[in-house]
Amino acid sequence: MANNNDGISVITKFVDTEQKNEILHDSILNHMPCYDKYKEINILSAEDVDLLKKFHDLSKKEKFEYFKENNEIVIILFNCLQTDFNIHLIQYVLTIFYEIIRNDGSSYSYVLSVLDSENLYSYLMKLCTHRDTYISDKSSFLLSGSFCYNNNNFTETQIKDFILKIDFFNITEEGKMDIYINILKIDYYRQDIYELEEFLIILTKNLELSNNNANKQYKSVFCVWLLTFKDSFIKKLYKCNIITLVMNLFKKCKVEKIIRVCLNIIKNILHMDDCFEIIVDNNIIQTLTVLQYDKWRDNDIYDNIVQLLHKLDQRVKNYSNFERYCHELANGKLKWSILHTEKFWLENVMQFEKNQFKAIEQLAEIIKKYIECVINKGDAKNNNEEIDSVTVAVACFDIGEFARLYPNGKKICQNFNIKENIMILIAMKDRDIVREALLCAQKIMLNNWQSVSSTK
Amino acid sequence: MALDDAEAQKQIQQMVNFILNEAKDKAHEIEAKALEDFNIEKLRIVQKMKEKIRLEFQKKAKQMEIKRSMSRSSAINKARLKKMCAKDQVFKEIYKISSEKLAELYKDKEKYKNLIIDLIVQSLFYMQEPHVIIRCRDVDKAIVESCFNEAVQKYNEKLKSQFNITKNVKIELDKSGNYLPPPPSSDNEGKSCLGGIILSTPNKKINCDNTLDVRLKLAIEYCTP
Repeated sequence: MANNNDGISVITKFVDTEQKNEILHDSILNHMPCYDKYKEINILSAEDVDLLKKFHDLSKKEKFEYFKENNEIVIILFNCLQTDFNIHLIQYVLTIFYEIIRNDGSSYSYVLSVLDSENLYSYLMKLCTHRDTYISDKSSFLLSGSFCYNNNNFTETQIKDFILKIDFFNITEEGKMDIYINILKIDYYRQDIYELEEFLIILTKNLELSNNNANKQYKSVFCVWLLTFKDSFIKKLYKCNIITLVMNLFKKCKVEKIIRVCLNIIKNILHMDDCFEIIVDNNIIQTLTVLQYDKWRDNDIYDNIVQLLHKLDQRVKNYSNFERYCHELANGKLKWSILHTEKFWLENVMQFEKNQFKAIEQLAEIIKKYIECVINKGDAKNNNEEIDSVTVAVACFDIGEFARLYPNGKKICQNFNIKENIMILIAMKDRDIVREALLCAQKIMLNNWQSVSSTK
Repeated sequence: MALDDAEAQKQIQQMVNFILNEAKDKAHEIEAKALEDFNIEKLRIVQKMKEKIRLEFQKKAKQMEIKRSMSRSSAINKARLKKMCAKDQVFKEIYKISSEKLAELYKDKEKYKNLIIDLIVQSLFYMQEPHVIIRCRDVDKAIVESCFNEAVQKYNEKLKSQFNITKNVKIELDKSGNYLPPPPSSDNEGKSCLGGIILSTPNKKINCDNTLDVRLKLAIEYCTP
């Protein structure tokens, strides 16, 4: 019983924001609007009112079924939207529609086949600027959803008009994001949404780690996912740093649905080189391996993670190669990445003998220069290229690996006077450099006697 | 610590709702992916079909082109044939008319005689033989024989003036009955001769056909554009 309590309390914490919505929906739905009043004013006919009352008394599930099978209820409910003065009625009708659509997305086609799309458009557009935010939220959600699932019923001008007016609707930020999500599903209008000023601002704001609202984060990540279906948008998102933000969120966040959508995003952006670099630099592979062992409610996530890992591994194999290493070396700045792992060296050590061990020579140069820099620190800075400690640490590691793995590595290191420099480095102040230098010295000096004896 | 039933129920209901909501979110995601996949697939299929139709139309256009050029060339051929036929017709006309005219020629004895003399002289020049035998039509026998001396004379004159040589030539009429066919008339439908002579050496090895038929044919060929 105690465990259950804890479990329940954890989840209830989680569920807070969604609870609010749920409670609101239920309260609206449970309270039947005063149909009788309308009967008196003759807006609704007596049969309509009876039908509505009967409808209200059905349970949720029965409501859904009844709705799908009877056109009249759809028409009657929709006509109720025309009555301007009772907010509760409008909220009631909109909530019914919302629940039905949430339950089954294909209801859009059904509703649009029953109702006239012109009427739908004009009524819902009017409601989007209603002073009650709940009503505006729901009506804009419904309208954008209808665009998405049946955009043949609406003209281009109607949809573009809607898009331009989004900023003027009286809606919450979450409502706005719902609209973005709905319209981003249509390829044709993706560019229009992307060009909205507010779009990127809202996205960036909500992808920040400091944002606590999981729902909003989820919706922003969803928007990003919908954009990653097209390469051109991936490039644009990359430029705006949104991809980086998403990766950061992915690493830190534990909410299942966000992880799920992020997995899909990664799957989509894998093939682009610069995005792949970000993935690799952020050590997503490691994160994924860890996530594999977490407990997820959704069983499909395990499969997704494994698949993604597999794809990333394949890509990494093509990506971490000797050429990239030389390129990085030529730049003079080394960073910790997959190019400086044992795995890389195991695969590529034989390639380092090219150009008479030029690469090793360059590494030795880096170490030498750093030492000179430090010794001459008192003097004026004659060379502008300050070698930073990370580069030196990485260089030490690389040299060590080379000495260990290459058949004659130690002898070759002797040619470049590496041992002396490493010894000097051990006395440095920077802890990272000292550690790497110690390890390197170890690797240079010790022999693997077992392998030597086996070759004898 | 112990929750009473109502509390527990409420919390369970909350959990149920939460899970349901999560499921609806997942359903939403699956729908979005399905929509995207559908659009991609639709585009792909439309492209494929468009390509197919484009190829089909290209093929059809080519076929039309071929048909058109074929009919054009056949029309040209037909026209050419027609032109050739018409030309042919005209030639035949000309031949007929001139044959008729030539056929009448032998009636004018003076003119005919001069003509025969010239023909003989021409043939003698052509053949350059000392001894020649002349064949002619039955009806021209008398005229031809009377031309011999004059012809030889003329021949020698010409030789002298142009080349300053003299040659002796002996002309003889072929009396062996090997006459040329008679003049054309509506009675006989076989071969006919319009007049003129044929010269040959005694051993019949060299012949010079100077009949009017042959001359007519030569003239027509010469004048054909």
